[in-house]
Amino acid sequence: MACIGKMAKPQELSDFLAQVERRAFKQAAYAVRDEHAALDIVQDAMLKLSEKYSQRPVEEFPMLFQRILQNVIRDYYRRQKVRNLWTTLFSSFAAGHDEDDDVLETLAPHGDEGRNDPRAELERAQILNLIEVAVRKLPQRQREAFVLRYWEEMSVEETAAVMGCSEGSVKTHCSRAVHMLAAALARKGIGL
Amino acid sequence: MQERDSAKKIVAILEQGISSLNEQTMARLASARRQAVASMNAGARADDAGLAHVAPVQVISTYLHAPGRHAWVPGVFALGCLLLVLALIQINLQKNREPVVADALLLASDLPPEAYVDEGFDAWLKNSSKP
Repeated sequence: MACIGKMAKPQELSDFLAQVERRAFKQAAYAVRDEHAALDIVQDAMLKLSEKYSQRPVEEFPMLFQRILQNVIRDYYRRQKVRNLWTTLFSSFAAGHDEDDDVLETLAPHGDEGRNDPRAELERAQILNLIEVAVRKLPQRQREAFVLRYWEEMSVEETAAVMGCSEGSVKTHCSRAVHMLAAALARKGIGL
Repeated sequence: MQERDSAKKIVAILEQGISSLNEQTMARLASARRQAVASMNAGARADDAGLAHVAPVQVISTYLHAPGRHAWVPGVFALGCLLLVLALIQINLQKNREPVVADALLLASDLPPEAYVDEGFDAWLKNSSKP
């Protein structure tokens, strides 16, 4: 891709990262379901952007950063896959392994117990938790499409470019994601 | 349209979530951001340093392909290198051939080979050759 605009300044990079870092963290946390790993992923993506693409104009940063973030998340999945393979191999020799781990337990919302929030704030926090759990439960591609298209406010074309798929696929993923989220919330008695 | 509205409502709630991230997470994100910016500054300084970090081969290549340089310069450079290599090969062959020549002279000589390693023979030769 040709470098058309002027090169970004350090302050512009800092401003851009400050603008996207919290959403990027949540995005990674939804994907990997581990906050520490999510922070590592965001840090890695930030460093890659600054080291490899800092000479690009600041207008290109959102797309580049999202692409890097998605790649870093995928790298994490790959590493986890290899690690899980070894863990499975070793655990099959170990006695007393608990076979009844419920996957859904890992998806349970981490409530803010212990805080004396007002009732309204508690309700809001509960709804937020419900939505976050529903987003986490979405299939990977649907979650990517939903976050990029509606949270990062990218166009269908930009989302397709970041995800490496067709615009039609983006529309399908987005539509399914919204319907699944709405259905998940409706089951809990929350209408949109 | 309804789908888009639903998505916006969901995103609005998710936005509330990111505004209430804990301090530890925020500090970690800020630290990551500072590292990224520092990395960008370090990269810019390295670029300012010019050719200091460039390998010698790259320097030669840059010199040879510099704009405005005559087209025949790389050819002459390559020919020079070729001649140097041929000269080195020739010297090496020459060195390997010298013992063969010495052996031939030794065998063709009137004296036995032992005479050349006998120091007494040298002394006798000097004395006997004096008038």
